[in-house]
This record gives sequence, structure tokens and C-alpha cells, in this order.
Amino acid sequence: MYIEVILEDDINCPRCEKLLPLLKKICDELNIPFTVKFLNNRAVAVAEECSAFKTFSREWIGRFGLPEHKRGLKKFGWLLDYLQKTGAQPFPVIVIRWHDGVRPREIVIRGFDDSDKEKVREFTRNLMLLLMTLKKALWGH
Amino acid sequence: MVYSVFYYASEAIVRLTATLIITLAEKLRSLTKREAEKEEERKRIPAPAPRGIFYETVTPMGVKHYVWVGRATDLIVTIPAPFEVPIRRAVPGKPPVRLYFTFNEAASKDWFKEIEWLAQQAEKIEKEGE
Repeated sequence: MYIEVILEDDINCPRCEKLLPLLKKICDELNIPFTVKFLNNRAVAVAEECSAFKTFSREWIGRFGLPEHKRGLKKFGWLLDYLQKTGAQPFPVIVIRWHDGVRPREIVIRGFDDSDKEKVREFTRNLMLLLMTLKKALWGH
Repeated sequence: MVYSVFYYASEAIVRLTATLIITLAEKLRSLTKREAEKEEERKRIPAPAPRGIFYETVTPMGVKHYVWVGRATDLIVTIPAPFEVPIRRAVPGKPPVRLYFTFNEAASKDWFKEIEWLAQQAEKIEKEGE
């Protein structure tokens, strides 16, 4: 039963540059394997304003989206289709992957904004808590 | 010079008598030891492995091995014996369950409640699908 953290990163992104040492410090403290995956030119910076950018997919919004997301589809449906067609990969994306003995599970967090220090602190705290809980559930300590 | 001769001579005599006494004592002990005790001692010391040929052993896990120990070298070769692999139907692995969040959601105070709710939804959909 493993647990690992992967950061999908772009070389020229300033937000990724701020996020990488933060994640590395958390993973080093908790002794969790941490890998950085550097994406190619076709990667796209994540837009966080609307949570409908979760999966870049019309089908996902149609099935799980809130009514406001479905209304917004009329405006940016074409953009989602384009992103799906080109297979754009967003950055920065944190993937927390673990196997609980039954099936692999992943928590994917898209985006990072370091302009608000309070939010970054809360985010770091939440990440630490999540990883500690997962570690305890899987390894018992 | 004379004193050293006396010293060495007395040392040699003491050494000789001590060795004689110890050897006699051992011989007496081995003669008086019972047959059962001698058998137990022989059993305790394991026989040395035959060298230069393949011989069959069983590991503590219960796996049969063929072992070859070199005659003039320290080379040891172990070959596990073949065993039957039962033919079983291939079961495809389950796909991963993914929960997506944005940075704003992950930085909120209710994130854990949201994770729990989403995980429950995913399980419900999985059960419906089955």
C-alpha cells in the first residue's frame, strides 16, 4: 500500500516555482515520496475562477456540474471542447495518489495562488493534515 | 642463565603434567558417557553438505531447492525446483477513483467535509454502476 505526491509542473511558471519547495518540505517532513513531472509546451496554466475547469469536459459538467456551471457552458463550452481536443494538460497540478488495498485513489488539486498569504497557509495546513491522515490510515503511523 | 634454565624447565614440567591430567580426565569422561548422550551430541552437529554435486533441500518456507556447493571454492548455486502454477481467470484491475479540486477549494476550511461528501458520491455511483 503506497502513497505518493506528484507535482505536474512547467519550467517557466513562477507559481510552480513557489509551490515546488513548499511541497518538497511537506513531503520530506512526512517521509512521503515526491516526484516532479515537467510538462511539455502544450501544457496550459490553470484558470481557477470557475470550478467548472475541474476536468475540461462537457460530459463531466453535464453529469456532476452545478446549475451555474451548466449555464456557463453556453459561454465557454467551445473552450472546453478545444481543450479536450488538443489534450491540454494543466499546471500546476498536485496529484496525491494512494492505494488502499482495493483500488488506487487520487486527489487532484489544480492551481496555486501565492498572492494571499492566509490562503497559502490554510492550504499548507490542509495538505499536511490530509497527508498525515492518509499515512495513518495506510501505515498506522 | 642458571635461573632461566630452572624457570623454563619448571614451566615445561607443569605444562606436561597439566596436559596429561586434562587428557586423562577427558578420556575417562568419554568412556563413562552413556550411549544416549553420545547419540544426542552426534545429532546436534549437522552433517557437512556434500560438495561437488547437486543435492535436494527444502527451505524453511517449504520450497524445494537444488543446491550445489563448490569442492575447492566457496561457490554456492541454488536452483528452485519447478512448481505447478494454477490456471486462474484474469481479473482486470479497478480504475483509480479521482477527486478533483481547485486551489480555492483546497485552501478552504471545509475541504475535508467536501472530500468526504465527494467520496460518498463516488461510492454511490460505483454501486449503481455495478
